[in-house]
Amino acid sequence: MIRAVHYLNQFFARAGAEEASQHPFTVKEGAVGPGMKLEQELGGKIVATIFCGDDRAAGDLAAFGAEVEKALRELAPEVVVAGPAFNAGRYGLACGEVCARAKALGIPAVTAMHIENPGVELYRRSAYVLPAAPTALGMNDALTRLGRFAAKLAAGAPIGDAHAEGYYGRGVRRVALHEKRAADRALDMLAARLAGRPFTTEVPLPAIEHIVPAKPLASVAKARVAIVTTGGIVPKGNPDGLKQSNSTEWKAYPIAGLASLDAGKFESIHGGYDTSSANANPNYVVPLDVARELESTGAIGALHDTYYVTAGVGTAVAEARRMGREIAEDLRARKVDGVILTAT
Amino acid sequence: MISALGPVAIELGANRVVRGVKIPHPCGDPTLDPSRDRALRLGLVRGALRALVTPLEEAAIFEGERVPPGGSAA
Repeated sequence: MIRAVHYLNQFFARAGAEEASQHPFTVKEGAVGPGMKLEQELGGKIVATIFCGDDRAAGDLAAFGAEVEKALRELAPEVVVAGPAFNAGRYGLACGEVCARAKALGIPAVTAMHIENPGVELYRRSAYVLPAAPTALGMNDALTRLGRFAAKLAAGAPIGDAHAEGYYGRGVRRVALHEKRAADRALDMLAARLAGRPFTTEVPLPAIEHIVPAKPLASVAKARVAIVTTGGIVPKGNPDGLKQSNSTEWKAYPIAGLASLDAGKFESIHGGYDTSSANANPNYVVPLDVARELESTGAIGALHDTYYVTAGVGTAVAEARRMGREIAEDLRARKVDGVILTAT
Repeated sequence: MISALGPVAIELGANRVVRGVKIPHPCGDPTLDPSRDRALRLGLVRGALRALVTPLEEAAIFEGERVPPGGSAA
């Protein structure tokens, strides 16, 4: 008989609604609420239900996680199930944390939530997260899939890839021998595509979000303009050790009083293009010489007194997004109106 | 944004894109003589300034402006 522990929030554990969102972490014997159906699907026993108020859990995930870990050590289940959390953000974070803590103790765990729940992005790499509907209307379906997946985990059965098993991809690649060579598989996909038949890519591209164009400036002649580049231009000698690829950092360097970015004073440390032209004339990447001319003639109101740089090569999209947000916040705080971004 | 890979930049979410020269030197061309090279760069940055004041409903690629060698920024 499988021994499972189930995590719920205060609402599904029937301890109260929003007013109970500070409910302390609690361990209760047996199955509660959705745990009844989960137990059937699992074909095992929920030895304990653990639950916590949403604010209490998500407000301090580290403290919450420590309580979860302590409880799981004492209960020593064979598998942990959390949720489903649907599109409830705080609940999703708590479910993800429960699974991550279980995994750290060597106990397999699974949760389920809607794709837009922030818990998916935060925990999909450290936990099995199954899709779920946005609301509790999808409860029965989610419990069925959670129960079956948990039974496999508890039995130590091999878990296939994300596509076959239905969990959100964890970004894990396993080396495996395929019965067909890559070239044959690629041609099969091409043939399917040309014939209009369905096929599944082996290299899914990240989804690109649509960005609404910003409002135009009323006049550049009255604007403060900054230059931002992903081209890796740094002061000669790279004083801050900016990485030449897989960047996780950006820097801002002063250009006040400079008419041009001169060779020998600035250089490119970018690891993704031939930097000989940029080193001979850094203005090819940060066009300060002509920007100064446009400032002196009044075409640009004022040039911001620093330029911003990172090396855009091999950088993870999530890192790029964070750096972009940080640079934008800094530009806004310094009252910059417009930006010329140069990309190599 | 000045990029030699305009369509890629737009595919990835950039909305105001000026077509740059080449990946290693988006803002100029080292094969030109210095005065033509500088005029090309000036035209690219002027194209970027024009993009900044252009109302857009969706992403667009802008061209650098033509500036004669030795031409002024005015």
